[in-house]
Amino acid sequence: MSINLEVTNGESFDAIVVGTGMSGGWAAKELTEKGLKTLVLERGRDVKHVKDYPTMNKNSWELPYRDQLTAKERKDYYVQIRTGYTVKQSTKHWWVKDTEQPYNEKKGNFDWIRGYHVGGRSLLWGRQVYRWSKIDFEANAKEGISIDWPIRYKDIEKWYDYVENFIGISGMKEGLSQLPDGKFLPPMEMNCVEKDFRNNLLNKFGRTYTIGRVAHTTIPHKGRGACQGRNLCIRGCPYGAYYSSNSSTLPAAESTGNMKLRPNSIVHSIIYDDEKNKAVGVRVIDSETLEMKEFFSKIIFLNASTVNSTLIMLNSKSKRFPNGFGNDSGELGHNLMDHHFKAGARAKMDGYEDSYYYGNRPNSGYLARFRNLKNKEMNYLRGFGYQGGARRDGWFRAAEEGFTGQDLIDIAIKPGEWSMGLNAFGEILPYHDNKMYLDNNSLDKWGMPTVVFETEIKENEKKMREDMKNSAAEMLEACGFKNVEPYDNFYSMGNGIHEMGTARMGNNPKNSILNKWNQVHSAKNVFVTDGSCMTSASCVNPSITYMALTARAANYAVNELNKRNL
Amino acid sequence: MKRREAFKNLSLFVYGSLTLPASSLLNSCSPVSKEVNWNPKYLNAEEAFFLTEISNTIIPNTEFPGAIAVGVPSEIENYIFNVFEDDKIQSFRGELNQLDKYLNNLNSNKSFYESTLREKTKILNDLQKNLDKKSYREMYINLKSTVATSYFRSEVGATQVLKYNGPSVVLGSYKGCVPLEDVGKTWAI
Repeated sequence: MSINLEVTNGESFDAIVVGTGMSGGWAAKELTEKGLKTLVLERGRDVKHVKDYPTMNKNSWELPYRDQLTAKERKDYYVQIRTGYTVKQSTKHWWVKDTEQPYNEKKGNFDWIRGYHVGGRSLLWGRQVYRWSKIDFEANAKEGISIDWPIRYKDIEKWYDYVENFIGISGMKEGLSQLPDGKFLPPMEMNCVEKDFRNNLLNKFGRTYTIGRVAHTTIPHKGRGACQGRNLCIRGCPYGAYYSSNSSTLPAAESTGNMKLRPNSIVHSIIYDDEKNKAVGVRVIDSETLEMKEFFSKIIFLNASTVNSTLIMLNSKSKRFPNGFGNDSGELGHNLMDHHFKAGARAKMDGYEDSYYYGNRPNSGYLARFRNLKNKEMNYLRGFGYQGGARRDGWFRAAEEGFTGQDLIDIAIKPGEWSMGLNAFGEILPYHDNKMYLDNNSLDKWGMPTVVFETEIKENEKKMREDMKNSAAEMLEACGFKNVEPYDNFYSMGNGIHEMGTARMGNNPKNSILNKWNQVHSAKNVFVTDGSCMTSASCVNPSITYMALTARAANYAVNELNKRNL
Repeated sequence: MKRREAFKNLSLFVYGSLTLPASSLLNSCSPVSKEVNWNPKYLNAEEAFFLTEISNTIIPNTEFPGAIAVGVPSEIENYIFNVFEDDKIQSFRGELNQLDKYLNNLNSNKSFYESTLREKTKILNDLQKNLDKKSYREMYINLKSTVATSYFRSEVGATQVLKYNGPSVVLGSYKGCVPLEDVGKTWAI
């Protein structure tokens, strides 16, 4: 296919937001609520809350092939299935077909897991929400790694409050400096074995295992229903009980009357006016008609997700920016990070035979980071936290443990032993040579250059993985579990679906792309507030930080606009 | 599809009636009708019949409708032949045929098919207890797992036999630590 290059002169807006996911929804809400006429662009199709969740109420017997992809379908989703859990019959409509959206892995695997539709991955995320702490923002400077963050915890603290109050986070206050408390709705409950582990862990190790802090409304919240314990979140929630743009920020933006949402709009590049010395708009490929359109605005927010925002910037070449938009430093596309995981331990526990849980909890427990908190005490830098919880074996054991007929049924209907797993999520350092760039000789079906990845984990992560595995086993062992099995399964970059860092923030335009307000150093009316802005990765799930940075940047942008500084 | 047809023919040749031991033919004084109550799309008549017989023995009707009543054999066929890669399909069929031969030739006087449900149950339970027959036992447990999975994902299995926690019931908020008797049975999901 070829693009119709006859450009239609588009409309003008106060602001353009590129992307409708985790951070784009926030940019749309904040800018429209502050009175800006805002065009919100989404490369995928429209998805309306509830109406467009086709599988949300499907029972197991109503889903073909035991909810698994067919062998033929797996060929279409050859990268997306690398997670092992995301693409099913009940969710396949959310993920890109890799056969239609190819990219290249030149060194190592990079699992680029994506959903292109209104709401993006805010519909599909794990919903775990942890604030960054002081040590996360200070670590690079303290250790002389990469470059310093241009902000500290105190700069973002009130924006965490602000975002959490709106989206609804359930959790328990623990008073830990490495895992700051937030504005919490009532916590979800731990089960008996998890409570037992929490107490033992605190007594024996002084470490904290808390209930996962999640973007779920455990009580009705701002017009959204309370979580009903279905744990079918990834299909879309009829109660709106977890945060997605579709259920939360986009309706808020819509209600201002200031938003124009345009799905099927692939942003090709940012238009830079060499005479005005500023960005003036974006070029868009209509994914259905292949027409190229231009839209103009005073400010632009890039929230297309880490890789796609970086792709757009690298593809935005002008006289002023021959190497990609805002890329005077040459760092654009570099320092790609993720969280490495799939190392930990699992174990069984005797007892608690008369205890069970009621319903499906869309959450697990979280064991807060305990390594290198004050000083370097290990043979690696930074740390990790664990996600994990306990449950009883289900009916599946009946085939092995039971005979036939009534005996098999009798075993199936009796819950089995308790087991518990701890799966670590560790910090990956920013490495200049973990990078993405564009292949201009290999275009996708819309004529956009394809992305090439070169990534790997290095010694620091490998040493950390040893500890992730051994510490989990040690803690489970000491806390009364049996049959402890440590594991370190294969992890490849991207598999954590926490990609970040390719347009990092920094104080110095010579080694960073964005300043402390997420503005492009050399084009101040362009803000990038998705994962690409991250200067380091921490070990906690990143989405809430993208949201807080977005709200903060939007507030700053509107103030600057009003002062006529942009 | 062509490859699957090829496997079908191949397995007929390797595992089908051509290779059945003469003894079983001689002793089958009352030939068993190998009709099934579903329409196999991929399995041959012998394979479909064996799958049906063994499914019915693993989960016969109890106070609940059993595997045949809820359509387990056709669900298994549909699942295996669409979800598995070709080599896995081939090994599933291979195991099905090996188990078929093994079970039907255990007793030279009476094949598995000719046995009563009570006798069939004993044959399968004896195999499960017999750790010397490691590979047949493993084939049997694998097949039994897929029968059980099919059954417990069915509407009867999930909602009548087990305690259902899928979307057709609204459970309300999660409770972490309750007496087992308040739930009663294993959750279906």
